[in-house]
Amino acid sequence: MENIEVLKKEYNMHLDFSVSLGPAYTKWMMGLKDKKILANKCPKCARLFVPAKPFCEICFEEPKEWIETDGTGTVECFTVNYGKFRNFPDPPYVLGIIRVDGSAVSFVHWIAGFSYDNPEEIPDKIQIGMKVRPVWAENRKGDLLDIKYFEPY
Amino acid sequence: MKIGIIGCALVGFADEVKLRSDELVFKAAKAALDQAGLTREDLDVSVITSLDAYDGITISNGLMAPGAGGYEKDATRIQGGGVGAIMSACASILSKSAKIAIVAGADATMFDDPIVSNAGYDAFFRRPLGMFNQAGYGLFAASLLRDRGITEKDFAALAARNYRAAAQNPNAHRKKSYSVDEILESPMAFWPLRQLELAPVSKGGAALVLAVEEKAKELSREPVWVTGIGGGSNPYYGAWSDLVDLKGLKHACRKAYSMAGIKDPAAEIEAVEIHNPFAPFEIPVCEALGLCQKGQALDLLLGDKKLVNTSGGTLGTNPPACGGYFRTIQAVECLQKNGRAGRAVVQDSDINLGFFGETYHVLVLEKAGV
Amino acid sequence: MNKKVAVIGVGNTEYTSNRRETRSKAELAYAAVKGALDMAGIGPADLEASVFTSVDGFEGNVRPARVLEAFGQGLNIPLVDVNTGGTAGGSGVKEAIHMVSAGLYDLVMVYGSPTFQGVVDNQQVLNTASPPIFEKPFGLGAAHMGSLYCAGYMRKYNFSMEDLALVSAKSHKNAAQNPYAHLRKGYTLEEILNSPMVAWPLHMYEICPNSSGAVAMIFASEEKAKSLCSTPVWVKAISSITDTFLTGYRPYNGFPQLKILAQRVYQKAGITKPRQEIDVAELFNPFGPFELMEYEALGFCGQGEGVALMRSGATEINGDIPCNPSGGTLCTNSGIAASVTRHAEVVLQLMGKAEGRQVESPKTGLAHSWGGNDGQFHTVCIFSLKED
Repeated sequence: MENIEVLKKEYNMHLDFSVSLGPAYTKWMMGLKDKKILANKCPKCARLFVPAKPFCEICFEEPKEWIETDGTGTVECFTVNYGKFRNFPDPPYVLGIIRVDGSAVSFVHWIAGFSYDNPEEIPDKIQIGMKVRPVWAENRKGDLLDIKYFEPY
Repeated sequence: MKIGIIGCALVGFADEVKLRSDELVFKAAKAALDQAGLTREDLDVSVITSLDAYDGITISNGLMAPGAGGYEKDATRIQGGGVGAIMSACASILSKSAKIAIVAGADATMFDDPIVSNAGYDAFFRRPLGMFNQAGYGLFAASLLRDRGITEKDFAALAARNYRAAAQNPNAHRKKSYSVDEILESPMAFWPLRQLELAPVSKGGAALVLAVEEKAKELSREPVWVTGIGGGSNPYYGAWSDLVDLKGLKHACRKAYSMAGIKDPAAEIEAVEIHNPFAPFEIPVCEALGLCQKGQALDLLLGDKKLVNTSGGTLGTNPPACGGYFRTIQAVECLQKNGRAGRAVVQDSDINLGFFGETYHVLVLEKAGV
Repeated sequence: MNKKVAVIGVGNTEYTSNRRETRSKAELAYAAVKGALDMAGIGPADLEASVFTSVDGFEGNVRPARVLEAFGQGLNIPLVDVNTGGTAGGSGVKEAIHMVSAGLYDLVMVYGSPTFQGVVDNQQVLNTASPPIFEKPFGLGAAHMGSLYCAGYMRKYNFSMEDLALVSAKSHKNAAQNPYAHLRKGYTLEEILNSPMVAWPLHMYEICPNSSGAVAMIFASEEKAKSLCSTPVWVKAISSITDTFLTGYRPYNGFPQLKILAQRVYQKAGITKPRQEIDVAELFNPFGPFELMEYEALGFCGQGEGVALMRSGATEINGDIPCNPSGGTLCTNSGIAASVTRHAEVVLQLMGKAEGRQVESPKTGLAHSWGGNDGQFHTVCIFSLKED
């Protein structure tokens, strides 16, 4: 094929979706609306789950029992974002892996509530094992972002 | 080849399911395992069939994998249909990588079917023209009409037959029957296909547990056996005549029949479940499967000479990811319910995304004692 | 395994950045497949089945395999479409191996697609794989999926930035000599530590680029392999493992699932001393320090000893357990092609065809892939020149 200057074409894909959350996820989300972090429990291995699970992946059973936690937890891991990426929050922001006390599993949320003025110093302010608690949003609707972020205390 | 189906489950099927796909696939997988008398611990491999664009998540099998029993196990995801996933599970078993496999899937997410199927076309030659699944069905139906002299009334009669069967099937999604006149009066969707000649998009879940021959005999009194399996494809920019000739399906058949030792399909196969998202597709498929001579399909179907789509077919139930599992489970039930039927064929495909570049699968099932 | 399976051909294209790429997906597919068929000494009519691996969501096309014609569709052969995220290469290879070992097909091709070609913003695209509702809203992109592991590992064992960056310098040095790598600048330790910090603790040169290129492999039955190939590379074992979906369940300082998987695969392959018995390994390292955690999980060293192993020189090309002689995913990440490439590279090494990056006389090799939402899946495959 002779050397020709090839065409470059642009396009995008826009797909919309909608899902139903079953009863377990729904109950957990509605708990957040009331500023409660709930946990459910596997009837066989007795592990507690925050966030709630519709079934235990090990025992393959459905949790039936629910308890209310006090929402405090520890930081299992974290990273600090410095890049500017489309549709993501402006840097810097801190992604945390948070384990609410008593839960067998952890989840993702932001860690904030202290100064971000010197971004390079942020990693030094966070320790793995640090205690954190939820800071609630004003307007809650049964969504993970009903928790604004977790703050160290 | 002889691989036993030792447990099955169907969950749904409806316009909408009030569960997320991980919860739905869990229900199906657990029910299938319960029926097989097994637990998750007994599984060697878990295979999911699903498509990211149907689930609204990239790498969507990640969400469903634990619900399909796959936690800490060897698992995979095959795109393009349930029978393709069954083929993968069979290959695992025949290669001695597994003794017991589960195949599972769930259609739970609401998505825009025409947009997703349009996104399955390339962005330069077909997508911008508004090519999508129903448009392709219309093209195919037009060739049946103009090239083969099949009439619009024939289309409607075939649809009416499917609806009648679906109305009798407790597992079906659409259970309302329509007369030929009602179908002919429904609005024209994509000429020459009318709305009531097109399949719905069903939500629901399904799972099957498969076992190597010795285990199947140990665990189940009389399992239905998978004795042959094959796949075939058609090119995207190929000749129209090859597409309507269903060359890819015929290639799949040859392999499946040769494995199952079938030499005369018309004589040796009594039941078949066909993937027909538009009613008249049953005609060329019956011919390609060798169930009758070319030109005899209408007579075979309207005369109920074989058990074709006793589930009500795709017009009755059409879950985009789990369809192949649904058809396989219905074929199993058909064999179990009909004394005179010894062998069934399940024909699956990915034409829920439309024609051009499609893949077909064929599965041969045999009842014990045939 | 039932019947024996061997690899008899590999086809590789050259790699470049997505921005500079001018080859279409169809051209890349044709080039990779043709290369594999040529090395195997067969024509397209000999192929009995094809496996296509990619991640649709990243390609901007639902089921991209359908719109390409390079996989035998013109001859109506079955096309198997495997999508398990970053492990799709390993999963696709596994499908081909099962199909041949089952006696279903004698010649099966696996194609690794240039998944990221055409993607304008990779972080955003990777975010589409992040669990919706639970994790997606937080701006968790690819870089963060990697940095979380590296942060945890670093803090657990008190490693320094330099400790972590050494392994990336090794990859860059190796890639500089690999004609099939994308980044061949050979960044030094100093250049890496001076590159901008993207997601703590990872610097830019510790994170893979966005590459374009493709790869294909031909798997054959024993009979075909022996009649067609002078150095068939035999498959000893392959398997995969699955973790939970939500990221938050990972411990973030190693790969415990990989450790479990490795033990299973070693048992199937009859390997009891991996450090001694494996001669070359291609490990999935889109984030440089992953390689250190992989050393530990695969049993090349003990827990927490990844950095020590790196510093010892054992994993250099002339070391006793060369890892990523190709430069790895860190230097060439063409999406799922990178996942298949780990297997293709090991095969080329065993065949003695690894131009510019050849390890001396390897007999047994290990290929690893990692992927899914923040490493939900791993695959491991063992190849050997020894038939039995």
